[in-house]
Amino acid sequence: MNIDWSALLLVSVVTVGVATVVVTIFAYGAAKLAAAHQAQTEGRPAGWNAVLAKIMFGTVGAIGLFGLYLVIPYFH
Amino acid sequence: MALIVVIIVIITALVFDFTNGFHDSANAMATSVATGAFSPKAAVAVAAVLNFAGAAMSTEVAKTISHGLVDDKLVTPEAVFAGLAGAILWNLITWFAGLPSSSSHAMFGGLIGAVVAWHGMNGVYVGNVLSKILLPALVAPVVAGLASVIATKIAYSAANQNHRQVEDAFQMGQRLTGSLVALAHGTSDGQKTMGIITLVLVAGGFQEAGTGPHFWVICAAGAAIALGTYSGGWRIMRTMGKGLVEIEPTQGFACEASATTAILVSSHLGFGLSTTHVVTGAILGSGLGRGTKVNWSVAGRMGIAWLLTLPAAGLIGAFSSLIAHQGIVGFVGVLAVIVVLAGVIVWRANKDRIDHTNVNDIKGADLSGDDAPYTVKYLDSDDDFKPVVRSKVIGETTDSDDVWQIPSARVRGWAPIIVHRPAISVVDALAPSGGAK
Repeated sequence: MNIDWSALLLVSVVTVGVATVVVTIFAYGAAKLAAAHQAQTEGRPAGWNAVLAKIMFGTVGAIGLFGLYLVIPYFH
Repeated sequence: MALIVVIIVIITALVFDFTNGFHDSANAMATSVATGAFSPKAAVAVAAVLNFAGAAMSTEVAKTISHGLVDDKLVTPEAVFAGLAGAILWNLITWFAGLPSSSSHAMFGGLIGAVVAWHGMNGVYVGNVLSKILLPALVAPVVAGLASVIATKIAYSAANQNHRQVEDAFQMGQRLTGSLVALAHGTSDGQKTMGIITLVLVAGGFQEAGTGPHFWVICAAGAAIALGTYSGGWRIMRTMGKGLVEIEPTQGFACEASATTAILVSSHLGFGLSTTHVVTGAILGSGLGRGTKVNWSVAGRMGIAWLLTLPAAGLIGAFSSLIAHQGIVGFVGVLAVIVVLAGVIVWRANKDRIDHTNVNDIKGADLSGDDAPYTVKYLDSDDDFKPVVRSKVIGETTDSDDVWQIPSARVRGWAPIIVHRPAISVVDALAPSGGAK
């Protein structure tokens, strides 16, 4: 039996790491979005919250595009 | 090889592709359907289109069907046919039971059974079966589950759940991750069927070795998996979306993001994991991460189904192989038996039909207890979004998954509410923590 333990370990670590990072950024993006909305409904300017939300969603979007690149065989 | 044999094997491969589609549409869409990110019909439509697109994009045919599990010289058209027969029947049986199970494992099990029945154990590489089938089946739910536990905990601590924007964002995230899973599924599983058909065409002398799949093969395989996906596999979707844990949008996104990551990472770092095992593990993990009740008896039944997949499909494959080796009469005989058994299973399933209208219902659920399996949310006419509360049944019913007006006196001015489940009795809403207004 030939088990590729290093590949197994790599897959486990990268999966947990990437999933955690993606969800963390997305969740903070959602929190900033809600804060921006809250500010607007109270008549205050959304300020940095709106910008940060866009940056965070943009980062997750970029990671998602990389996922799309991995899925589509044409690219590699 | 006779043309008729080639035709029978191709038809069987396409039928397997169809069962593969409806068995696995829950993997991509169960959590999105459960949380309402997609309506059931929209979910299967999106998944079907993306499965077709995925299948059409991926036309590099694998060099072997068996992936080193059995001696490739023994993978005759009879063995392939018998293996497909085993996989189709096992997929139908597990679908009837509402249990997700890996279609690839069923296919390999059928093939192994077919080879063992005709050539004995010598044709099977047992070490590879352990390292490529058994070990990944154990690892996949653990890795995806662990990622999901951590991701869910973080998602709940980072974002205040009582904002509508937060819920909307997570639902959008669910739609995107679910779509990515559907696309990835099309590229990997649609391509498997193309590989089988192409290898059979080559073996029969109808195609030159080393050439890619014909255009019609790509279209047929893509269409079969897309049609299967669109037909929904609602029985499995209900189990995965509603049977394991109650899924909220935040949790659904954390779960789906973990599953998507596990699928993409595993297929590109050389340790392939089954989509079914990954998604199920992630759903369980998200339940643990949120600290909600996990239905371990359902999870246990799934585990048993996974363990049985290889031997059960193998047994059917073995019988089919012995009969198919009797020549063309044997082929047609096996085909007839499959058609009859499939008809019986579908007929039985229709007696207790599950489709897009009742996919989110839980059979026999106690709607009156504290564990009422639905949630009621207040979306009040002011701006603050009140916490999720569970409701007690007092007698009124709603028949749509719409915003539903509760008599304002009852809810002290917080109407309307959104009821996340059709046809439930909603009655008095409990005062949210922090006291009533």
